[in-house]
Amino acid sequence: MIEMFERDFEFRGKHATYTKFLKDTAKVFNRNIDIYMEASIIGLLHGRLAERDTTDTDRTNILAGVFIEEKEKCKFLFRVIMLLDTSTGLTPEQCLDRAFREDNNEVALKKNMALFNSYVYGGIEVLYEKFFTNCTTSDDYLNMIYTFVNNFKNDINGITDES
Amino acid sequence: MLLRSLKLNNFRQYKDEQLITFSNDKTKNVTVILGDNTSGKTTLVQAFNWTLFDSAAFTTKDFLLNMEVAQDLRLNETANVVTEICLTHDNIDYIITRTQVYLRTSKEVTFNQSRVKVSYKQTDGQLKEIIPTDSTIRKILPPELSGYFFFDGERIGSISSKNDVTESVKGLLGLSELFNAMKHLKSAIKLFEMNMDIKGNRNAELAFERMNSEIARREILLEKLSNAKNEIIHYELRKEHLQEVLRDNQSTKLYQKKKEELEENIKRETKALEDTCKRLISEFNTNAIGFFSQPLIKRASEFLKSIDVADKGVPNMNASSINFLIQRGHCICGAKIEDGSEVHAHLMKESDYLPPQSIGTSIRLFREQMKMYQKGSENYHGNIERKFIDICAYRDRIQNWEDDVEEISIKIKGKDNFAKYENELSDVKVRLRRFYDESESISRDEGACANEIEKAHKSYNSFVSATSKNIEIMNYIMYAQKTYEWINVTYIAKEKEIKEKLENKVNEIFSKMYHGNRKVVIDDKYRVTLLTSYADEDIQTDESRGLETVKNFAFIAGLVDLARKKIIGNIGDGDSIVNLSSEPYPLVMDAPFSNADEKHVGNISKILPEIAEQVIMVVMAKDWAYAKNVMGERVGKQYMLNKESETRTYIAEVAIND
Amino acid sequence: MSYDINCNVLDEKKLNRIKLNILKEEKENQKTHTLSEGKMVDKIRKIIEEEVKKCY
Repeated sequence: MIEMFERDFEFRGKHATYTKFLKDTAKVFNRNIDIYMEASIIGLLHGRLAERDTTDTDRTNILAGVFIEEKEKCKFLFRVIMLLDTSTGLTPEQCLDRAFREDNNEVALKKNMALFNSYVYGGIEVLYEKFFTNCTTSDDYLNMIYTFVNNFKNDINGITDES
Repeated sequence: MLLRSLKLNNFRQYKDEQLITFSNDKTKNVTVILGDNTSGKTTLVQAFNWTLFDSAAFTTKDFLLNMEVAQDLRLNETANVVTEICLTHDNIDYIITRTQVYLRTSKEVTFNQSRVKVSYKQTDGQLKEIIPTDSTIRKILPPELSGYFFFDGERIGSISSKNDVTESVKGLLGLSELFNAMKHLKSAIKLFEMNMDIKGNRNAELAFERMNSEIARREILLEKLSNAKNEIIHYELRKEHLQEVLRDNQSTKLYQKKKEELEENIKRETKALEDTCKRLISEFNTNAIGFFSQPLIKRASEFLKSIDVADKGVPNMNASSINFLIQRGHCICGAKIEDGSEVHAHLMKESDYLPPQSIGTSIRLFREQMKMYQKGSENYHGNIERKFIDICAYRDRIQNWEDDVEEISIKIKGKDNFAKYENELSDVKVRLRRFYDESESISRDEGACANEIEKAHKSYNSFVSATSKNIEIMNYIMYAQKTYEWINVTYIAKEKEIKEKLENKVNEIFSKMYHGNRKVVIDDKYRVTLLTSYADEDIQTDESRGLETVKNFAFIAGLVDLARKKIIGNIGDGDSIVNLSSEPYPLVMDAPFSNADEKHVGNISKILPEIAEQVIMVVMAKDWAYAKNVMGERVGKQYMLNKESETRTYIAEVAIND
Repeated sequence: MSYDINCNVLDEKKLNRIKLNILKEEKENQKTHTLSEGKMVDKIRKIIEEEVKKCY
């Protein structure tokens, strides 16, 4: 059985840069894994998929050890996204299977993980856009955290998602 | 001195008032008073002594009152004895009156101390009385000389061998003054020498050295003092400046303080802000999943509702667990699991309900998770919002404070750090204290030093003045010595001259009085000795007595003659001439011829008027007989003593040709 | 005693006045005998001092 979220993960190219930005510059996220997890949600919420950037301009990673710590959370998010993703045109039963039955299926898992990660990449881009634009000072970033959260709250009080 | 008259009143035998007026004529300068023995010749001469000196050498006691008058005195009745001399001395007419009061008591007749009255005639003719002192009459005629001018012939023999001749002669001839001057000068010089201070010179040097060393020390102290004072001035100025700066900027200090407070606040608040931000971010991160997955969870829930998923499986168990057990060969309960057995088949069926084959468990787990996250997200926004509000508040406050700080900073911009000034001020104050103490101490030292200088200076002055005093004294000594030398020279010369002259004169007179080869010599003590010629040794008694008389007469005559001629001494430049001798004195003689023989009488009487200014002789008639021939022409006045009784004699003027 | 006399030249006039005054006093006293020996010495001393001190 192949376990997911047990290996090192590496961001590359712009996603690495964005990740670094969010963690080191904006300092709105404490760990890369926090970005990873949040980005997955944001990506799905915004329906944003992105290709993995393979350029070697930048790198940053998440160590296996860290993944193991947050494995349950990541697994949860994985299931949510596999369940709710509609970009591949699968039936609900297929989504369900995808979410719950294919953990041990190496091929399927690989495909599913790729999908999950592309939502992660998309989410990173969204987060980057949110926090990069119109923000320059640390106060701005902090304010943006509140704005982000507050706006989201306002949104979900009215609507469910933007897909 | 010239005698004018003698008045007697009840003086011894001269009862009542009796007057003799003496001749003052220059050529007829002889007054003769004739009287036999016991007529009162001696008394007359003694009257002079008594009047002038209250001394009369009478054989009887000093009872001078006329006996008859005394006897007639009734009880408590008084009678006066009065004598009066009129004379001229130094061109002044004097009247000297002596009175003695006699009183008859029950026992006897007593008398008091005689009293003398002296008057002189002033230029306007008025008589002025002077209160006689010891020196009044003395000035006129010194008592010790009286023996030479008022003498009686009986005692004439002893005159020239008297011991005090020297002094008297010197006094008479003006040598005494010189002699005394020399004596006194010697004493004066000794006094001067005693007042000299030889030690003073050395002491002056020492004092001078001490003074100079103290002056040098004082210089140093003054410089030190000056330096200290300069420092004080410098630091006082600095203190003033600092205080001014601090005073002017008291408000700045307040601002400074406020600023510091604000900065404290800002720092504190900033920390709180940072903490809150951290917590906010932490919150954001930690529970983000729950919150942001809200809509997804909702959808997922709905989705799962639409699919019926039977949940039969054992919770938290999956297929791999079963496989593990099967592999192991015995169950958890302990039952053996054999391949193909019922247990095995049962387990295999169970595994269908377990994930991954059976997703029911997974779904159930999933549902629980969703529930958990949903619950957990309830406070997410609230927490973040609250924190955010706090953060905003912090930010506001910080900003306000920072604005205030900025405002204050602008206000106190350019104004310095006062701690620095205050520190310097304390330092300056400490230094000032030190310099004040130092300058005080130096001042004290300097004061003491100045006193030392003063003392040394005074000391020096006193010694120097002693030194200059010495010079002064040496000057005195010089003049005194020069004076002494001159006087000595003069004295010696004069003395020699006088002695020569005297000797010559005496010999001259002697040879006139005495025919024979005799010579007199006068020794240093002015004793007259007859130089006996070698051939002649035998001298007859009366002749020798006569010789003595003549010798003495000659001596006296020589004295008188010499005195008459003023001995003039020159003083230096010849401008002032000092009259060293006294004025001429009259000769008042009582029985001068009593021991002389005829020949001698004649000779004596010839010479006497020539050498004396005035001659008053009281002689016996028989003696006069001889003298008259020689002296007759020189007689200006002639009197006679008429002895009426033992107790009574009257003086009567007689015409000269009798 | 010998002195290092650094004093003025002997003034003849002064000296003569001193002589005169001293002899006057002596003559006076010879007649009157008022002053004792000691007093005479003092008098003479004063005559000398006063005369020496004069500057004319």
